[in-house]
Amino acid sequence: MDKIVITATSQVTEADLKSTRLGSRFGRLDLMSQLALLAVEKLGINFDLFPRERIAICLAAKAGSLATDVEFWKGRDAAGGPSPTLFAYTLPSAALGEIAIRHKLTGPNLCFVGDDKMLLPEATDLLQRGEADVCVGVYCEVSTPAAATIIQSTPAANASAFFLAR
Amino acid sequence: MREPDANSLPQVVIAGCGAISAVGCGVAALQSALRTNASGLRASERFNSPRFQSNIVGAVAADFFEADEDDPTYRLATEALRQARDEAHSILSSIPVARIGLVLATTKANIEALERISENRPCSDSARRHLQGNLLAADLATEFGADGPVQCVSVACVSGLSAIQQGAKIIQRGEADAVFVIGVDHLSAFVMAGFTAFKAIDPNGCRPFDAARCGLSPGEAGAAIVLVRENFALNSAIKIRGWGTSNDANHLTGPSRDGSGLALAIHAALNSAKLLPSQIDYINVHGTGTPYNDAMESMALRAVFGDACPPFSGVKGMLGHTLGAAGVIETIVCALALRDNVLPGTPRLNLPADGVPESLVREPRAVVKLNHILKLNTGFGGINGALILSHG
Repeated sequence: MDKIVITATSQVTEADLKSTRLGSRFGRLDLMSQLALLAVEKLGINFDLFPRERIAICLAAKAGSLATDVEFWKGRDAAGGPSPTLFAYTLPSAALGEIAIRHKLTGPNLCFVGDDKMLLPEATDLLQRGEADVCVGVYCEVSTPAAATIIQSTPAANASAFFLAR
Repeated sequence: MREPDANSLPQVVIAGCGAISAVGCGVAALQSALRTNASGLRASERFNSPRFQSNIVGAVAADFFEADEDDPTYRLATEALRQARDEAHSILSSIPVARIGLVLATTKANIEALERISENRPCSDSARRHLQGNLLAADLATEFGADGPVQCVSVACVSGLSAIQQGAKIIQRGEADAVFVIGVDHLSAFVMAGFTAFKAIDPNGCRPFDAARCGLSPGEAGAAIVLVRENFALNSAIKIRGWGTSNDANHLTGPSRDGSGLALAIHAALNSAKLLPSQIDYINVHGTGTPYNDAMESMALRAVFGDACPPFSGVKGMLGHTLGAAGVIETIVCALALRDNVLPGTPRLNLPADGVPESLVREPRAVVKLNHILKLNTGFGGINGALILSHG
Protein backbone atom coordinates (compact mmCIF):
# COMPACT_ATOMS: atom_id res chain seq x y z
CA MET A 1 0.00 0.00 0.00
CA ASP A 2 1.20 3.52 -0.78
CA LYS A 3 2.11 5.65 2.19
CA ILE A 4 -0.27 8.50 3.05
CA VAL A 5 1.58 11.82 3.21
CA ILE A 6 0.95 15.53 3.49
CA THR A 7 2.01 17.00 0.15
CA ALA A 8 1.26 20.68 0.81
CA THR A 9 0.54 23.01 3.72
CA SER A 10 -0.46 26.64 4.10
CA GLN A 11 -1.23 29.23 6.75
CA VAL A 12 -3.09 32.51 6.39
CA THR A 13 -4.17 35.35 8.67
CA GLU A 14 -6.70 38.16 8.34
CA ALA A 15 -3.93 40.41 7.01
CA ASP A 16 -3.61 38.16 3.96
CA LEU A 17 -7.21 38.89 3.01
CA LYS A 18 -6.60 42.59 2.32
CA SER A 19 -5.30 42.06 -1.18
CA THR A 20 -7.28 38.92 -1.97
CA ARG A 21 -10.39 38.40 -4.05
CA LEU A 22 -11.19 34.81 -4.99
CA GLY A 23 -14.13 35.07 -7.36
CA SER A 24 -17.03 37.49 -7.49
CA ARG A 25 -18.72 36.17 -4.34
CA PHE A 26 -15.64 36.38 -2.11
CA GLY A 27 -16.53 39.71 -0.50
CA ARG A 28 -19.92 38.37 0.58
CA LEU A 29 -18.52 35.41 2.50
CA ASP A 30 -18.03 35.48 6.25
CA LEU A 31 -14.54 35.83 7.71
CA MET A 32 -14.08 32.12 8.39
CA SER A 33 -15.08 31.13 4.86
CA GLN A 34 -12.73 33.74 3.38
CA LEU A 35 -9.81 32.49 5.48
CA ALA A 36 -10.59 28.84 4.71
CA LEU A 37 -10.84 29.50 0.96
CA LEU A 38 -7.59 31.44 0.94
CA ALA A 39 -5.78 28.73 2.91
CA VAL A 40 -6.91 26.11 0.38
CA GLU A 41 -5.95 28.38 -2.53
CA LYS A 42 -2.43 28.76 -1.06
CA LEU A 43 -1.98 24.98 -1.11
CA GLY A 44 -1.55 25.36 -4.87
CA ILE A 45 -3.24 22.06 -5.64
CA ASN A 46 -4.42 21.25 -9.15
CA PHE A 47 -7.69 19.53 -8.30
CA ASP A 48 -8.16 18.54 -11.95
CA LEU A 49 -5.68 15.74 -11.33
CA PHE A 50 -8.24 13.83 -9.23
CA PRO A 51 -11.84 12.69 -9.71
CA ARG A 52 -13.86 15.34 -7.88
CA GLU A 53 -15.98 12.75 -6.02
CA ARG A 54 -12.78 11.21 -4.60
CA ILE A 55 -11.59 14.44 -2.95
CA ALA A 56 -12.66 14.72 0.69
CA ILE A 57 -12.82 17.87 2.81
CA CYS A 58 -12.19 17.68 6.55
CA LEU A 59 -12.55 20.90 8.53
CA ALA A 60 -12.27 21.87 12.19
CA ALA A 61 -13.32 25.23 13.61
CA LYS A 62 -12.03 26.09 17.06
CA ALA A 63 -14.94 28.30 18.11
CA GLY A 64 -17.48 26.97 15.63
CA SER A 65 -19.27 29.81 13.87
CA LEU A 66 -19.62 32.01 16.95
CA ALA A 67 -18.10 35.12 15.34
CA THR A 68 -20.74 35.04 12.59
CA ASP A 69 -23.45 34.06 15.08
CA VAL A 70 -22.75 37.29 16.98
CA GLU A 71 -22.90 39.36 13.77
CA PHE A 72 -26.16 37.72 12.68
CA TRP A 73 -27.79 38.23 16.06
CA LYS A 74 -26.81 41.90 16.14
CA GLY A 75 -29.25 42.38 13.27
CA ARG A 76 -32.23 40.91 15.12
CA ASP A 77 -33.92 44.28 15.62
CA ALA A 78 -33.14 45.64 12.17
CA ALA A 79 -36.03 46.60 9.92
CA GLY A 80 -36.86 43.45 7.97
CA GLY A 81 -35.08 41.25 10.50
CA PRO A 82 -31.59 39.80 10.53
CA SER A 83 -29.66 39.04 7.34
CA PRO A 84 -30.55 35.81 5.53
CA THR A 85 -27.10 35.87 3.93
CA LEU A 86 -25.39 35.88 7.31
CA PHE A 87 -27.69 33.13 8.62
CA ALA A 88 -26.25 30.79 6.00
CA TYR A 89 -22.84 31.26 7.62
CA THR A 90 -23.98 30.53 11.18
CA LEU A 91 -22.76 26.97 10.69
CA PRO A 92 -19.08 26.02 10.78
CA SER A 93 -19.66 23.75 7.81
CA ALA A 94 -20.51 26.79 5.65
CA ALA A 95 -16.77 27.28 5.10
CA LEU A 96 -16.53 23.67 3.99
CA GLY A 97 -19.41 24.24 1.57
CA GLU A 98 -17.67 27.27 0.10
CA ILE A 99 -14.52 25.23 -0.53
CA ALA A 100 -16.60 22.54 -2.23
CA ILE A 101 -18.41 25.08 -4.42
CA ARG A 102 -15.26 26.94 -5.50
CA HIS A 103 -13.34 23.80 -6.46
CA LYS A 104 -16.35 21.59 -7.36
CA LEU A 105 -15.33 18.98 -4.80
CA THR A 106 -18.13 16.42 -4.39
CA GLY A 107 -16.40 13.86 -2.15
CA PRO A 108 -16.94 13.04 1.55
CA ASN A 109 -17.22 15.80 4.15
CA LEU A 110 -16.38 15.96 7.87
CA CYS A 111 -16.64 19.03 10.09
CA PHE A 112 -15.67 19.32 13.77
CA VAL A 113 -15.97 22.01 16.41
CA GLY A 114 -12.83 22.20 18.53
CA ASP A 115 -9.09 22.16 18.15
CA ASP A 116 -7.11 20.58 15.32
CA LYS A 117 -6.07 17.39 17.16
CA MET A 118 -8.46 15.08 15.34
CA LEU A 119 -8.09 16.68 11.92
CA LEU A 120 -5.11 14.77 10.52
CA PRO A 121 -6.08 11.38 12.03
CA GLU A 122 -9.63 11.65 10.68
CA ALA A 123 -8.44 12.77 7.24
CA THR A 124 -5.96 9.89 7.19
CA ASP A 125 -8.72 7.47 8.19
CA LEU A 126 -10.87 8.62 5.24
CA LEU A 127 -8.06 7.64 2.89
CA GLN A 128 -7.21 4.40 4.67
CA ARG A 129 -10.82 3.27 4.46
CA GLY A 130 -10.89 4.06 0.76
CA GLU A 131 -13.66 6.65 1.17
CA ALA A 132 -11.50 9.15 -0.72
CA ASP A 133 -8.23 9.26 -2.66
CA VAL A 134 -7.06 12.60 -1.30
CA CYS A 135 -8.22 15.01 1.38
CA VAL A 136 -8.14 18.74 1.96
CA GLY A 137 -7.77 19.45 5.69
CA VAL A 138 -8.59 22.92 7.03
CA TYR A 139 -8.34 24.34 10.54
CA CYS A 140 -9.96 27.71 11.29
CA GLU A 141 -9.43 29.78 14.39
CA VAL A 142 -11.79 32.73 14.11
CA SER A 143 -12.93 34.69 17.12
CA THR A 144 -13.75 38.36 16.66
CA PRO A 145 -13.30 40.63 19.69
CA ALA A 146 -17.06 40.45 20.38
CA ALA A 147 -17.11 36.66 20.17
CA ALA A 148 -13.91 36.35 22.21
CA THR A 149 -15.44 38.44 24.99
CA ILE A 150 -18.43 36.12 25.19
CA ILE A 151 -16.37 32.94 25.46
CA GLN A 152 -13.62 34.65 27.48
CA SER A 153 -10.89 33.84 24.97
CA THR A 154 -8.40 35.76 22.83
CA PRO A 155 -9.40 37.24 19.47
CA ALA A 156 -8.00 35.33 16.49
CA ALA A 157 -8.43 35.21 12.72
CA ASN A 158 -6.32 32.62 10.96
CA ALA A 159 -6.58 29.38 9.06
CA SER A 160 -4.25 26.62 8.03
CA ALA A 161 -4.64 23.85 5.48
CA PHE A 162 -2.98 20.66 4.35
CA PHE A 163 -3.38 18.31 1.42
CA LEU A 164 -3.22 14.62 2.13
CA ALA A 165 -2.51 12.09 -0.59
CA ARG A 166 -0.95 8.70 -1.20
CA MET B 1 0.59 2.31 9.03
CA ARG B 2 -1.54 -0.78 8.39
CA GLU B 3 -4.50 -0.33 6.06
CA PRO B 4 -7.83 -1.52 7.48
CA ASP B 5 -9.46 -4.44 5.73
CA ALA B 6 -13.14 -3.61 5.32
CA ASN B 7 -14.04 -7.26 5.76
CA SER B 8 -12.21 -7.55 9.08
CA LEU B 9 -13.45 -4.35 10.73
CA PRO B 10 -15.53 -5.03 13.84
CA GLN B 11 -19.27 -4.65 13.46
CA VAL B 12 -20.94 -1.85 15.40
CA VAL B 13 -24.44 -2.26 16.82
CA ILE B 14 -27.04 -0.21 18.66
CA ALA B 15 -27.30 -1.08 22.37
CA GLY B 16 -29.59 1.66 23.61
CA CYS B 17 -31.64 4.68 22.51
CA GLY B 18 -33.11 7.76 24.13
CA ALA B 19 -35.24 10.59 22.81
CA ILE B 20 -37.12 13.67 23.86
CA SER B 21 -39.03 15.57 21.21
CA ALA B 22 -42.28 17.23 20.28
CA VAL B 23 -44.10 13.90 20.68
CA GLY B 24 -42.92 13.35 24.24
CA CYS B 25 -40.19 12.11 26.49
CA GLY B 26 -38.85 8.61 25.89
CA VAL B 27 -38.55 6.21 22.97
CA ALA B 28 -41.95 4.73 23.88
CA ALA B 29 -43.57 8.13 23.23
CA LEU B 30 -41.85 8.29 19.85
CA GLN B 31 -42.96 4.76 19.03
CA SER B 32 -46.54 5.57 20.00
CA ALA B 33 -46.57 8.61 17.69
CA LEU B 34 -45.11 6.50 14.87
CA ARG B 35 -47.88 3.92 15.26
CA THR B 36 -50.61 6.56 14.95
CA ASN B 37 -48.83 8.83 12.46
CA ALA B 38 -49.36 11.64 14.96
CA SER B 39 -47.91 15.11 14.57
CA GLY B 40 -46.24 16.98 17.43
CA LEU B 41 -46.34 20.28 15.55
CA ARG B 42 -48.26 22.90 17.49
CA ALA B 43 -48.57 26.65 17.96
CA SER B 44 -46.06 27.72 20.61
CA GLU B 45 -46.37 30.70 22.91
CA ARG B 46 -42.57 31.02 22.83
CA PHE B 47 -42.69 32.18 19.22
CA ASN B 48 -45.96 34.05 19.17
CA SER B 49 -44.47 37.18 17.64
CA PRO B 50 -44.65 38.98 14.29
CA ARG B 51 -40.85 38.60 14.19
CA PHE B 52 -41.35 34.98 13.18
CA GLN B 53 -42.98 33.60 10.06
CA SER B 54 -45.02 31.12 12.10
CA ASN B 55 -45.29 29.86 15.65
CA ILE B 56 -46.17 26.31 14.59
CA VAL B 57 -43.15 24.29 15.61
CA GLY B 58 -42.04 20.94 16.96
CA ALA B 59 -41.39 22.02 20.55
CA VAL B 60 -40.72 19.85 23.59
CA ALA B 61 -43.39 20.22 26.31
CA ALA B 62 -42.77 23.52 28.08
CA ASP B 63 -42.81 21.94 31.55
CA PHE B 64 -39.73 19.86 30.69
CA PHE B 65 -37.54 22.92 31.12
CA GLU B 66 -36.86 24.79 34.34
CA ALA B 67 -38.42 28.23 34.62
CA ASP B 68 -36.04 30.67 32.93
CA GLU B 69 -33.85 27.77 31.74
CA ASP B 70 -30.53 29.11 30.46
CA ASP B 71 -29.03 25.81 29.27
CA PRO B 72 -31.86 24.00 27.47
CA THR B 73 -29.52 22.18 25.09
CA TYR B 74 -27.73 20.51 27.97
CA ARG B 75 -31.08 19.54 29.53
CA LEU B 76 -32.26 17.92 26.29
CA ALA B 77 -28.97 16.11 25.77
CA THR B 78 -28.72 14.76 29.32
CA GLU B 79 -32.31 13.48 29.28
CA ALA B 80 -31.80 11.58 26.01
CA LEU B 81 -28.43 10.28 27.11
CA ARG B 82 -29.76 9.08 30.47
CA GLN B 83 -32.45 7.04 28.70
CA ALA B 84 -29.99 5.49 26.25
CA ARG B 85 -27.46 4.70 28.97
CA ASP B 86 -30.15 3.07 31.12
CA GLU B 87 -31.24 0.83 28.26
CA ALA B 88 -27.64 -0.22 27.60
CA HIS B 89 -26.76 -0.44 31.30
CA SER B 90 -26.04 -4.17 31.43
CA ILE B 91 -23.62 -3.90 28.49
CA LEU B 92 -21.96 -0.67 29.60
CA SER B 93 -21.33 -2.02 33.10
CA SER B 94 -18.80 -4.46 31.61
CA ILE B 95 -16.87 -1.76 29.70
CA PRO B 96 -14.22 0.39 31.45
CA VAL B 97 -15.00 4.12 31.28
CA ALA B 98 -11.72 4.71 29.43
CA ARG B 99 -13.15 2.54 26.64
CA ILE B 100 -16.34 4.62 26.30
CA GLY B 101 -16.32 7.57 23.89
CA LEU B 102 -18.80 10.30 23.05
CA VAL B 103 -19.70 12.08 19.82
CA LEU B 104 -22.00 15.08 19.92
CA ALA B 105 -23.94 16.36 16.91
CA THR B 106 -25.27 19.90 17.12
CA THR B 107 -25.67 22.85 14.81
CA LYS B 108 -26.08 25.64 17.37
CA ALA B 109 -25.08 24.13 20.75
CA ASN B 110 -26.48 26.36 23.53
CA ILE B 111 -27.27 29.39 21.37
CA GLU B 112 -29.69 30.43 24.12
CA ALA B 113 -26.64 31.84 25.93
CA LEU B 114 -25.88 34.25 23.08
CA GLU B 115 -29.46 35.51 23.15
CA ARG B 116 -29.25 36.05 26.92
CA ILE B 117 -25.86 37.75 26.90
CA SER B 118 -26.95 40.04 24.04
CA GLU B 119 -30.03 41.07 25.99
CA ASN B 120 -28.28 41.38 29.37
CA ARG B 121 -30.38 38.57 30.83
CA PRO B 122 -28.91 36.20 33.45
CA CYS B 123 -26.67 33.50 32.02
CA SER B 124 -24.72 30.99 34.10
CA ASP B 125 -21.08 30.19 33.42
CA SER B 126 -21.98 26.67 32.29
CA ALA B 127 -24.66 27.93 29.90
CA ARG B 128 -22.10 30.34 28.42
CA ARG B 129 -19.52 27.53 28.17
CA HIS B 130 -22.00 25.37 26.27
CA LEU B 131 -22.14 27.90 23.45
CA GLN B 132 -19.11 25.94 22.25
CA GLY B 133 -20.11 22.50 21.05
CA ASN B 134 -16.79 20.88 21.93
CA LEU B 135 -17.08 22.04 25.55
CA LEU B 136 -20.70 20.85 25.69
CA ALA B 137 -19.47 17.46 24.46
CA ALA B 138 -16.70 17.42 27.06
CA ASP B 139 -19.11 18.19 29.91
CA LEU B 140 -21.56 15.49 28.73
CA ALA B 141 -18.69 13.01 28.63
CA THR B 142 -17.67 13.91 32.18
CA GLU B 143 -21.23 13.64 33.48
CA PHE B 144 -21.86 10.28 31.82
CA GLY B 145 -18.52 8.68 32.53
CA ALA B 146 -17.11 8.57 29.03
CA ASP B 147 -13.34 8.88 29.40
CA GLY B 148 -12.56 7.73 25.85
CA PRO B 149 -12.40 9.85 22.68
CA VAL B 150 -14.76 12.86 22.56
CA GLN B 151 -15.76 14.70 19.38
CA CYS B 152 -18.24 17.39 18.40
CA VAL B 153 -19.38 17.27 14.78
CA SER B 154 -21.31 20.08 13.14
CA VAL B 155 -22.17 19.40 9.52
CA ALA B 156 -25.46 21.30 9.32
CA CYS B 157 -28.48 19.00 9.16
CA VAL B 158 -26.28 15.99 8.37
CA SER B 159 -24.61 16.33 11.80
CA GLY B 160 -26.54 13.45 13.35
CA LEU B 161 -25.66 10.95 10.63
CA SER B 162 -22.06 12.16 10.66
CA ALA B 163 -21.90 11.62 14.43
CA ILE B 164 -23.18 8.04 14.12
CA GLN B 165 -20.60 7.43 11.40
CA GLN B 166 -17.85 8.87 13.63
CA GLY B 167 -18.98 6.81 16.59
CA ALA B 168 -18.81 3.65 14.49
CA LYS B 169 -15.37 4.57 13.18
CA ILE B 170 -14.02 5.18 16.71
CA ILE B 171 -15.12 1.65 17.66
CA GLN B 172 -13.84 0.09 14.44
CA ARG B 173 -10.44 1.73 14.94
CA GLY B 174 -10.26 0.12 18.37
CA GLU B 175 -10.21 3.44 20.24
CA ALA B 176 -13.32 2.54 22.25
CA ASP B 177 -15.70 -0.37 22.84
CA ALA B 178 -18.75 1.85 23.24
CA VAL B 179 -19.64 5.36 22.09
CA PHE B 180 -22.48 7.62 23.20
CA VAL B 181 -23.82 9.45 20.14
CA ILE B 182 -25.98 12.45 20.97
CA GLY B 183 -27.86 14.75 18.61
CA VAL B 184 -29.28 17.90 20.12
CA ASP B 185 -30.59 21.30 19.17
CA HIS B 186 -32.85 23.63 21.10
CA LEU B 187 -35.58 25.64 19.40
CA SER B 188 -34.28 29.18 19.73
CA ALA B 189 -35.31 32.66 18.67
CA PHE B 190 -31.98 32.72 16.79
CA VAL B 191 -32.91 29.77 14.57
CA MET B 192 -36.52 30.93 14.17
CA ALA B 193 -35.28 34.38 13.07
CA GLY B 194 -32.87 32.77 10.62
CA PHE B 195 -35.44 30.58 8.92
CA THR B 196 -37.88 33.52 8.94
CA ALA B 197 -35.23 35.61 7.14
CA PHE B 198 -35.08 32.84 4.53
CA LYS B 199 -38.89 32.72 4.36
CA ALA B 200 -38.44 28.98 4.74
CA ILE B 201 -41.14 28.24 7.34
CA ASP B 202 -44.55 26.85 6.36
CA PRO B 203 -47.02 29.10 8.22
CA ASN B 204 -49.40 26.16 8.65
CA GLY B 205 -46.86 23.52 9.66
CA CYS B 206 -44.73 21.53 7.26
CA ARG B 207 -46.20 18.98 4.83
CA PRO B 208 -43.30 16.98 3.42
CA PHE B 209 -43.82 15.68 -0.14
CA ASP B 210 -47.26 17.29 -0.34
CA ALA B 211 -48.34 19.12 -3.48
CA ALA B 212 -49.08 22.18 -1.33
CA ARG B 213 -45.87 22.11 0.71
CA CYS B 214 -44.23 25.49 1.16
CA GLY B 215 -41.62 25.21 3.88
CA LEU B 216 -40.26 23.51 6.95
CA SER B 217 -41.26 23.57 10.63
CA PRO B 218 -38.39 24.10 13.04
CA GLY B 219 -38.23 21.58 15.87
CA GLU B 220 -36.13 20.68 18.87
CA ALA B 221 -35.00 17.36 20.28
CA GLY B 222 -32.42 15.47 22.21
CA ALA B 223 -31.67 12.02 20.86
CA ALA B 224 -29.03 9.52 21.92
CA ILE B 225 -27.79 6.16 20.70
CA VAL B 226 -25.30 3.89 22.48
CA LEU B 227 -23.08 2.15 19.94
CA VAL B 228 -21.04 -0.88 20.99
CA ARG B 229 -18.76 -3.44 19.43
CA GLU B 230 -20.83 -6.35 18.23
CA ASN B 231 -19.29 -8.84 20.66
CA PHE B 232 -20.78 -6.90 23.60
CA ALA B 233 -24.37 -7.12 22.34
CA LEU B 234 -27.01 -9.64 21.42
CA ASN B 235 -26.86 -11.22 17.98
CA SER B 236 -30.22 -9.65 17.16
CA ALA B 237 -28.94 -6.10 17.70
CA ILE B 238 -29.24 -3.64 14.83
CA LYS B 239 -26.01 -2.97 12.95
CA ILE B 240 -24.58 0.23 11.54
CA ARG B 241 -23.93 -1.36 8.17
CA GLY B 242 -22.53 1.45 6.03
CA TRP B 243 -22.47 5.16 5.28
CA GLY B 244 -21.58 7.78 2.75
CA THR B 245 -21.35 11.55 2.50
CA SER B 246 -20.97 13.88 -0.46
CA ASN B 247 -21.24 17.53 -1.42
CA ASP B 248 -23.38 19.05 -4.17
CA ALA B 249 -20.65 21.67 -4.77
CA ASN B 250 -23.44 23.78 -6.18
CA HIS B 251 -25.06 26.24 -3.75
CA LEU B 252 -24.60 27.10 -0.08
CA THR B 253 -28.25 26.99 0.97
CA GLY B 254 -30.14 25.37 -1.90
CA PRO B 255 -30.03 21.70 -2.85
CA SER B 256 -28.81 20.61 -6.27
CA ARG B 257 -31.65 20.60 -8.76
CA ASP B 258 -30.95 17.11 -10.09
CA GLY B 259 -30.31 15.12 -6.90
CA SER B 260 -26.93 13.95 -8.16
CA GLY B 261 -25.10 14.87 -4.93
CA LEU B 262 -27.47 12.88 -2.72
CA ALA B 263 -27.37 10.00 -5.20
CA LEU B 264 -23.58 10.01 -4.83
CA ALA B 265 -23.89 9.69 -1.03
CA ILE B 266 -26.40 6.84 -1.40
CA HIS B 267 -24.09 4.96 -3.75
CA ALA B 268 -21.19 5.46 -1.32
CA ALA B 269 -23.31 4.06 1.52
CA LEU B 270 -24.42 1.07 -0.58
CA ASN B 271 -20.80 0.35 -1.53
CA SER B 272 -19.67 0.60 2.06
CA ALA B 273 -22.47 -1.75 3.16
CA LYS B 274 -21.81 -4.08 0.21
CA LEU B 275 -25.48 -3.98 -0.73
CA LEU B 276 -27.33 -3.48 -3.99
CA PRO B 277 -30.10 -0.91 -4.33
CA SER B 278 -32.58 -3.78 -4.68
CA GLN B 279 -31.68 -4.99 -1.18
CA ILE B 280 -32.92 -1.82 0.56
CA ASP B 281 -36.32 -2.46 2.12
CA TYR B 282 -37.22 1.05 3.29
CA ILE B 283 -35.83 4.59 3.07
CA ASN B 284 -36.33 7.26 5.71
CA VAL B 285 -35.81 10.50 3.80
CA HIS B 286 -34.80 14.00 4.94
CA GLY B 287 -38.17 15.43 3.79
CA THR B 288 -38.08 18.97 5.12
CA GLY B 289 -41.22 20.08 3.32
CA THR B 290 -39.47 22.80 1.32
CA PRO B 291 -40.31 22.66 -2.39
CA TYR B 292 -36.72 22.28 -3.55
CA ASN B 293 -35.52 19.74 -0.98
CA ASP B 294 -38.34 17.27 -1.51
CA ALA B 295 -38.14 17.56 -5.30
CA MET B 296 -34.39 16.99 -5.16
CA GLU B 297 -34.81 13.92 -2.96
CA SER B 298 -37.41 12.49 -5.35
CA MET B 299 -34.92 12.87 -8.19
CA ALA B 300 -32.10 11.29 -6.19
CA LEU B 301 -34.31 8.28 -5.37
CA ARG B 302 -35.19 7.85 -9.05
CA ALA B 303 -31.53 8.18 -10.02
CA VAL B 304 -30.50 5.36 -7.69
CA PHE B 305 -33.53 3.09 -7.65
CA GLY B 306 -35.14 3.83 -11.00
CA ASP B 307 -38.76 2.70 -11.14
CA ALA B 308 -38.21 0.25 -8.29
CA CYS B 309 -37.94 2.73 -5.44
CA PRO B 310 -38.44 0.97 -2.07
CA PRO B 311 -41.11 2.27 0.31
CA PHE B 312 -40.02 5.60 1.79
CA SER B 313 -41.37 8.21 4.17
CA GLY B 314 -40.31 11.18 6.26
CA VAL B 315 -41.20 12.13 9.82
CA LYS B 316 -40.56 15.87 9.99
CA GLY B 317 -44.32 16.41 9.91
CA MET B 318 -44.25 14.66 13.29
CA LEU B 319 -41.09 16.09 14.90
CA GLY B 320 -40.30 19.23 12.93
CA HIS B 321 -36.82 19.79 11.61
CA THR B 322 -34.66 19.11 14.65
CA LEU B 323 -31.42 20.14 12.90
CA GLY B 324 -28.43 18.59 14.69
CA ALA B 325 -30.69 16.04 16.36
CA ALA B 326 -32.47 15.06 13.13
CA GLY B 327 -30.04 12.37 11.99
CA VAL B 328 -29.98 10.71 15.41
CA ILE B 329 -33.69 10.76 16.22
CA GLU B 330 -34.61 9.71 12.67
CA THR B 331 -32.11 6.85 12.92
CA ILE B 332 -33.94 5.78 16.08
CA VAL B 333 -37.14 5.85 14.01
CA CYS B 334 -35.40 3.50 11.54
CA ALA B 335 -34.20 1.21 14.34
CA LEU B 336 -37.77 0.95 15.66
CA ALA B 337 -39.00 0.14 12.14
CA LEU B 338 -36.40 -2.63 11.82
CA ARG B 339 -37.21 -4.03 15.24
CA ASP B 340 -41.01 -3.96 14.82
CA ASN B 341 -41.25 -4.52 11.04
CA VAL B 342 -43.49 -1.49 10.69
CA LEU B 343 -42.97 1.19 8.04
CA PRO B 344 -43.38 4.73 9.43
CA GLY B 345 -45.84 7.02 7.64
CA THR B 346 -45.49 10.61 6.46
CA PRO B 347 -47.46 12.73 8.94
CA ARG B 348 -49.40 15.75 7.62
CA LEU B 349 -49.25 14.52 4.02
CA ASN B 350 -52.48 15.18 2.13
CA LEU B 351 -51.87 14.94 -1.62
CA PRO B 352 -48.41 13.81 -2.84
CA ALA B 353 -46.76 16.23 -5.24
CA ASP B 354 -46.15 15.41 -8.89
CA GLY B 355 -42.88 13.59 -9.43
CA VAL B 356 -42.80 11.93 -6.02
CA PRO B 357 -42.15 8.18 -6.38
CA GLU B 358 -45.32 6.16 -5.87
CA SER B 359 -43.78 4.11 -3.07
CA LEU B 360 -44.20 7.04 -0.63
CA VAL B 361 -45.70 5.59 2.57
CA ARG B 362 -48.56 7.76 3.77
CA GLU B 363 -49.73 5.81 6.82
CA PRO B 364 -47.72 3.39 8.98
CA ARG B 365 -48.07 -0.22 7.95
CA ALA B 366 -46.78 -3.59 9.07
CA VAL B 367 -44.58 -5.61 6.74
CA VAL B 368 -43.33 -9.18 6.89
CA LYS B 369 -39.64 -8.43 7.42
CA LEU B 370 -37.31 -5.48 7.11
CA ASN B 371 -33.62 -6.28 6.72
CA HIS B 372 -31.91 -3.13 5.45
CA ILE B 373 -32.94 0.50 5.91
CA LEU B 374 -31.42 3.58 4.29
CA LYS B 375 -31.50 6.87 6.21
CA LEU B 376 -30.91 10.17 4.39
CA ASN B 377 -30.20 13.74 5.48
CA THR B 378 -29.05 16.81 3.56
CA GLY B 379 -27.99 20.24 4.73
CA PHE B 380 -26.74 23.76 4.13
CA GLY B 381 -23.31 23.77 2.55
CA GLY B 382 -24.54 21.26 -0.04
CA ILE B 383 -23.79 18.35 2.27
CA ASN B 384 -25.52 14.97 1.86
CA GLY B 385 -25.44 11.99 4.20
CA ALA B 386 -26.64 8.40 3.92
CA LEU B 387 -26.57 5.66 6.56
CA ILE B 388 -27.60 2.02 6.29
CA LEU B 389 -28.94 0.01 9.24
CA SER B 390 -29.34 -3.75 9.10
CA HIS B 391 -30.63 -6.55 11.24
CA GLY B 392 -27.94 -8.59 12.99
